Parts: sequence; structure tokens; C-alpha cells
Amino acid sequence: MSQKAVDRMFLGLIYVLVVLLVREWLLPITELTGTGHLALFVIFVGLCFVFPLFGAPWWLSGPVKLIYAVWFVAHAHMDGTAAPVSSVSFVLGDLLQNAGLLVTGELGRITDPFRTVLFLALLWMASYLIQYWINLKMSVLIFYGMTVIFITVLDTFSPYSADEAIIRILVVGFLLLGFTFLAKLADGQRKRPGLPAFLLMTIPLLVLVTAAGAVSQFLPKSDPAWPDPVPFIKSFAEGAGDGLGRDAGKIGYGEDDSMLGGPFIGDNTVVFEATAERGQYWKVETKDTYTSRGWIHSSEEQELLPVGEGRPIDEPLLAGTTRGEDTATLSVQLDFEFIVRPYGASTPAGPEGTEFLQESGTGKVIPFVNNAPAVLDAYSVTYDEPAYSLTALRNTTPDTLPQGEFGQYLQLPDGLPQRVHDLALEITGREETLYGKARAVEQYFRQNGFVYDQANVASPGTGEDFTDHFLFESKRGYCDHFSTSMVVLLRSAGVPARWVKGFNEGEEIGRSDAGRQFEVTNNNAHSWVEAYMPGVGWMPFEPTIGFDGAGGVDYDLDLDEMTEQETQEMEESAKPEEAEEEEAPAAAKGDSFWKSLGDRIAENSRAIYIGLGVLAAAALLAFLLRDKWLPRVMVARFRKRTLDREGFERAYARLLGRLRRYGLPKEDGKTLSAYAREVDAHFGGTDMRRLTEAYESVLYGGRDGIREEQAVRESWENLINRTIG
Amino acid sequence: MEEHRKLLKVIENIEEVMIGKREVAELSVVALLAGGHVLLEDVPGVGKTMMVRALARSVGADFKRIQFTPDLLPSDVIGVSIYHPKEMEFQFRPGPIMGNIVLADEINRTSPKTQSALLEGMEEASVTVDGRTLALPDPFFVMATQNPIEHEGTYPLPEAQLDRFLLKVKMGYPGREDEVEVLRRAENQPPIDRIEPVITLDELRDIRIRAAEVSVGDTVKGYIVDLAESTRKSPDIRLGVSPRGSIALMRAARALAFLKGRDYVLPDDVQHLAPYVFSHRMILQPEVRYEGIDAEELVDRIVTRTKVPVRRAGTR
Repeated sequence: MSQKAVDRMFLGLIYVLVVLLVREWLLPITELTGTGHLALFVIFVGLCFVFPLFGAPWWLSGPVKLIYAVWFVAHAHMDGTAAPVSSVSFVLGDLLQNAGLLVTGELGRITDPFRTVLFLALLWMASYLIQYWINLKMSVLIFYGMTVIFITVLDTFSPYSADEAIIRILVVGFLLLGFTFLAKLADGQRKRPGLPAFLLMTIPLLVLVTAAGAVSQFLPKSDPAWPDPVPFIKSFAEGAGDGLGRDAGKIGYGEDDSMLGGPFIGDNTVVFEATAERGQYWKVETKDTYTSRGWIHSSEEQELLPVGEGRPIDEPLLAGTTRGEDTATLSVQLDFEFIVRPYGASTPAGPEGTEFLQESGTGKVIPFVNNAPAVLDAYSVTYDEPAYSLTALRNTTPDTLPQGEFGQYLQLPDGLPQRVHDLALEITGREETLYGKARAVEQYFRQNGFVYDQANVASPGTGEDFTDHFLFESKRGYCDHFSTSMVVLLRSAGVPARWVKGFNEGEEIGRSDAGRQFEVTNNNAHSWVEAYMPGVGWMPFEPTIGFDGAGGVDYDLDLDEMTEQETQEMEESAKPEEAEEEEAPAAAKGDSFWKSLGDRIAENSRAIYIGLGVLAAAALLAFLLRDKWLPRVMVARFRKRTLDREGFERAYARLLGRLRRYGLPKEDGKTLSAYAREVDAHFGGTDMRRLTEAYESVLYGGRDGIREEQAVRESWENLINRTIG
Repeated sequence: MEEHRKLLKVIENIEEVMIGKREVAELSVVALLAGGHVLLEDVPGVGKTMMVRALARSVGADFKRIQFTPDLLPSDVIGVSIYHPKEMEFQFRPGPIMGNIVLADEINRTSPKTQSALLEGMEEASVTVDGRTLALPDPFFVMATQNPIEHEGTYPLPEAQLDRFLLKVKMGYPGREDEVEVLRRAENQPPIDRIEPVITLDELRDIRIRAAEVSVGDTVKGYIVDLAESTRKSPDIRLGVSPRGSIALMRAARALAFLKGRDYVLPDDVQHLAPYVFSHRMILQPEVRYEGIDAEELVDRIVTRTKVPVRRAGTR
């Protein structure tokens, strides 16, 4: 076996190990981001390493990699089989489209194929970098260290489990370190090691690492010296609570609300699909009694009243208009023994023989078939969405509230801390109307550092009030936290209020003649607030950050009579409805530009990270390859310069810098002419001597002019060009 | 440059009689141009006298030789006033120091008193006899030799006096090839007789003035000072080079630059001369001396470590 072949085999071995390490990077990425085609990505990385190994020229390796990338993108993203011509046109079209998006800054709309292209580019640059480390420095320690850090961080802070990955990484990494060390040793020898020496060096290493790995499998393993830091960090971030160990619940509509709080995880299961003219909140029931931990209803036994013709589900408003009658058609996937309905619902309609009864206390409407509660797959509800009269709302002074009728909606638990009462007064004290008080509480959450979060939510400690903990301790939570707190604050301020459960509008999935179609999933389960406005009726409020709310206000006032805030609200309500992201915290209304910018960044984080990664890699690449392009730039600039004394000194200093980079550094104690002889001996010719003599006469002889300027310029350019690596 | 070529011829002349010792010849001419003196440190019989005589002949100068012995008196060097019965007065009979080029052989064999008589003459370019100050001829160039200090029966020159010499040069034995050539030439007519004068003393005086006009840029001055400073800071050196040593290095560098046909001094000139100018102007730490490291080696080390200025001071 020839020497070259042995060297190549050795390098190939190192490359294989490196590709294995790169695979460890790709594994969690594909697992965590839902990217598929791990094997194809690994093959691409392999290609990036195979070609240089066999010294393939760029005109061969470049096109092959390109073809592979095009095929990959087409294969992964095109429907049907990827024929060559259609693949190319698909990828090209996609590139053009996304280039436009990049220019206009619409990062959020970048398509998946384009992201794949970017990711492949990133992989290509990364593999180039790693080759640079190996070929020039014979050092993979940085890369290896970064891999270990990456994997351990992911293991600690993300769902990715690196139990096996860490073993693989250690084995591969030790082998890599060993091989690169051997390579460095071999470099120091005059004679390159042949095959026997190669085997002699590698086999003990293989045996040692394998044996160590195998033995470690059977050794007893002690517990970590440090406990898992994540809970500590979380508790630090959230400011306490004893609910850390509590398991996350799943989102969805539940009956039992007596224990609120705790983190939950999303669930995309579809609950129902609805066809209606407008997207709106879907109400199920209300609850009136707050227990410091959650909600129950005051009366155990509910009177059931028939609804339908003659008796609408929702009482008509005392003042205000409506937006026009419409019928919402629903098809339900889950087994609910109740119906969901929009605001202003009047008549439900189900299959033949269905009777609808409403619980008098909670307002829940239950379908009955043959005198037994039934589950309906499909039904419709006629409704007329109310718009609340602003004129009437502005007259809701506390003295208009009928005395004694709303005791159950002003109920508060005995143990409610005084500071909640104080806060309620502080927020609402300046408002004269009940409506004003309700809006003030609603707005309070948007401006005082509250955060919408489903996952990192601490539960209140034993004996601690749920509302008090949210308002003063955590300030972090989801709809239950916001709505419950609003009800409690309203009641503290003397406004009758109740807690409403249901779903928000869901995601619009299409349109038909019958209206817009909405898909509502478990993620859309929601809670909000209704407050009683004397002379108007029960009116919904939406305290949760990032949600639009139900119902609208009829701005039946002249513009100049309205307050600024009311005008603003009117303008907002006049805007066309937009399908809201499901349960995702959207930008809070009226907040600053920065907030929305931050949200946009958060939404597009993946694209931005990839973009930044590509940029950083490109910069690093340019820096590492500076020997290839910097000299040309320097020559081009030099040609434009006048060669006065200062210019010459600068040019000479640059040349010294370039020569140092090239590998011909000037020792401190060496004089310029001695150095010039050395450089000329290396390159051949007399350029450096000629240049140096001219420089010496300027620097040491104090000459102003440069003799034979043209020759000096030529010498300088020759030398700079020689340093191109 | 006519003078420059003539000086090269002088060096060639010396090389004729001192085969393979161009370096020493060059240094002698440098000292001659700079108006300094040379201390040759070497064993007898390597051709010192020949070299000085060749130099003297080349410049058409008066050559004198003083062999220093332990019993030599100052008056043997300077000269003595003797009563002349016929003229009825003391007449000054000048000593061997009254020459243009003086070879002071084995200077460390004589008593300090006699040594200082010579050294004083070298410093002042004049001697005092019977209260009269007599100017020494111009040019006045002393080439002193001394046996290596380890030889017995020597009076080592005090450091303060050593720096009267511009350069201290070690000559060494010739190389094998060169020595064969020496033998071959010794068979024939002594080469010294064939040497023709190249320049006159007047011309030499003129050249000396021109050599002193060679410019030393601030950058190079700074470099000289850096070197001197390094000798003061080195832990191996008990007493470093004085400012007088820096001046000496600058003067010598000027002469070397002139000899090379340049009218400005390069760091190369400074580097080349530093060991010859500095080594006898420093006192080493005793432990360094026991290790067998000599001053030339230390200066060499300092030269390789001190940064040569490659940009003007004040520029980046």
C-alpha cells in the first residue's frame, strides 16, 4: 500500500468520526424541530467530506453537491416524484420567491424548501470549517468541546434525551482526539508512518477506547454531585411557589374548576368545527363562586328550563343593537353533554326529538333526547351578536345597580388578602361608572408586567390565594389566571361579575357560501369574564393578554362626546377581524413598537437563527480564507495610492503582516535587510531586497522621495501576490 | 565614490598579509575612520603585527611598535628629555607613541602606570612631557594587543580604561585552508613588501571628516539606545554599557556605513558592530563568567532579542 493511500486512509477514518459527530448535532435538531430526512442530511455532510478526501477538483465536487442539494429539496418538499426538470424549476422558483421575501424583510413567510437550502448551506460551511481545523491545525478539540456542550445543554434544558448520545459522543470524540494526536506525532517525523506503523498506532487506541467504554457500562454509577439545576432556575425566574413538582396538565375543556393553576401543555385535538359569518367566542357556562383555589357554582341542584322559541338562551340586551341574525352550524368531535353557543344565542336546533334545557344558574344548555342528556354530533344555534350601547354603558354609575339582586356575583372568599381589595380600589377608584371600572381592570393586566405563559406557571402555595399569588407574586399565567383575577378585582370594587368558560374563535380554515369555517381545538379552551352593567345586561370582558374578546360596543355617541380611549377602542373594533393565532400570545393592543418587534422576532426565530448562523459562518469563512482574497484587495488599493513617505511605510508594514501570515515572520532581532535576503531566498528573485533598500533609505536615511518608484511598486505587488495562500 | 573604493583597497591590502581575516581588516579600517582605537585580544603569532604594518603602509603612515614588558616605564612610551651637552639644553626624544599608527603589543604585560600613559595619550590625542603638552600626530591610531586574561603575569586593564578602545576584536587562528595559504606565501617574498600605499594621510584625514557626516536617523539612534539599555537591564550583566558606549557604537556605525558606501546608518551596521563595541564595556555577573559565557555572546543574545525598529517612532 502506498504512503499516500495510508495517509488517506488515516484521514478518511478521522473524517468518518467527524461525520458521526456532526450526526449528533443533527439528531436533536431533527427531533426538536420536527425536521425530517436525517439520513439525507448526514449523506450531504458525508459528501462534503468525501470529495476533499480524494482531492476531487471543485468542478466535480461543486456540481455533485449542488445536484444532490436540488434533489434533496425537491424530494423532501415536492408532491409526487421529483423528475429532474421539475425539481430544478421547483427549487429555482422557490429561491426566487424567497429572495424577494428576504429583500422585503418578511422572514416569517420564508418557505420550508428555502429553509432547507439555507440549512444545507450552513452544513456545507460547517463541514468546510471542520476540515480547516483538521487539515491545517490537526485539532478537533474545539469542535468536540462544542458538541459536548451543545448536547449537554440540550439534554438539560430541552425534551431531548442525550443518554445514549453522550456515550456515542465520548467514544467518537476520544477516538478523534487520539487519531488527531497520532497524526500530529506523525507530522513531526521525517518519515511518514506506513501501514504497519499505522496499524500499530491505531489498534491499541481502538482497543483502549472500546474497552474503556465497555467497562464503564458495567461500573456502578454514582448520582450526580449536583441536583438538576433546571427547577432551581425556574423557581428563581418565577419567584417561588410550591407547585414545581406538579405535573403539567393537558389543555382542554374540563368540568372541574375547583383547583386552578399549574402548567399545561398544548393539545391540537379538534373539538368542533363551526360555520358562521363571524369568528366569535363560544360560551358554555358561567360560575359564580370563587373558593380561593378555583370556581364552583353556588347551587348544587340546577333548575332546568327549556330554551328555544319563546325563551332565548341569552337574555336580550336591555340597551344596544345587534349585528344581524345568523345561524352557526357546528359539528362536534368530542362527546360533550352540552352545546357551545355564540353570544346573543337564541334558538338551538338539533336532530328530530332533541330538547334543549338550560341550567338556570350556570347557563349551560344541555340537549336531551328521550328525557336523558345526550351527546350531539351536529347542531346549529341561531344567534344575533349584541353590540353594547356606549351611551347606556356610560350611565352605569354604582347607584343604578339594583340592590340585593347580585349577592352571588359579589361573593368573595373570607380569606382574600386585604391587598387584593386595596389593589381593586387603586385600579378602579377614579372611575365613576361600573363600565369604566371594568375596563380599567381589563387594561390593568396589559400594562403592569403580566406575562402570558402556559408552561412555566407556578401554583400558589398551600393556604395561598390563587388570585393573590398571580397578582402579586408570579404575574405569569394563562386565561384562568387573568379571568379569575379580573372577577375577583371587579367584585372587590363592587361590580357584579362572573367567570365564563368556553372556547375562543379558533382558527379559520376556509370559506363557503354558508360562511366562514372555524376549527376549534382543545388549545382554544378559554375562560373570560362577564360583568353586569345596569341598564345593559351581562357584558363580556377579556383580561387575558393576547386575546380579542367577545362582543362589541355600539358606539352610539357622537365622536366629540367620546373619551380618547373610547375612540381608540372604536377604531380598533372597526378593523376587519383577523384570524387569531390559537392561544398564542399575540401582541398586546396599544403596546409599543418594540413589543411587536420582539414578537415578530420570536415568531421568526428559526429563520433568524438560521440567517444569523449563515452570516456568522460566512464571516468566519471569509476570515479563514483571507489569505486568498485579502492580498488582491490590498494590491487593488495599493495601485490607487500615491507612494509618499507615509504611504510607503504603511504599504511596507502591510507586506510584513502578509509575510507573517504566509509563514515568513520577521524575528524581532533581525534587521530588514537580513530579513529581505531570507524572503528572497524563499521566493527567488530580488524583489524584497529592492523594496527593502528603498524602504531603508526612507526609514533610516530620512529620504523623502522614493527612488525608482515604479520598480518598488512592482516589487511590492509581486511579493503581495506571492503571499496568496 | 572614489574614497570608498580606496578604502576597500586598503582592506584588500591587509587581507594580502592576513589571509582569511577580512573581518578584522574591516574593523580596523572602521576604527581608523571613526578616529578610535582597537584592542586585539589574542595569542601571539597570529599575524597582528603584520596586519598593522600592512594598514600603515596602505595609508602611507608612520608605523611604530611598542612591546610592553613588565619593566617598561611611561617614558619609554612617551619619550624622554635628554640633556644635550653640545646644545646645553634638554632635548625631547619622542617615544614610540609619537607615530600615526602604533602597535602596542601585549599591553596587559606592563604595569598600570605605563598602561595609563598610553591610554591617556589615546584619550587626549596629546601627551604631557616635562610640563609641556605635545600633540600627537594626526591621524593617531593605536592598535593594542592583549593576551587572554587567563595568561600568567598580566595586569588586566581596568574597565574604565578599556573603554578608551573603540573596538575590541578577537582574531583567532586562521582556518585550515587559509593557513595552508599562509604557508605557501611564507615561502616567497614576504607579502608586506609588495604593499603599495593606497591613500595619503591627507586623504585619510579628509575621509574621516566625511565619514563623520554620515547621518544617523532618530530611528537608528533609538535602536542604539535600546541595545545599550538592554545591557543595563540584563540579569547576566552587573554593569551595562554607559552612554559613552552608545556614542562609540554610533561613531563606529557611521564609519562602517561609509565604508559600505552609504551615507546613512542601517541597523545592520549597528548589529554588526555591537559585540565589538559593547563587549569590553560591560562587567558580567561572576556566575555567568563561570558558566563560560563571554561578553560577546551576551551581546549577541541581546542583539537577537532587541526589536529592530521597522517603522518610524511615533507611527503605528
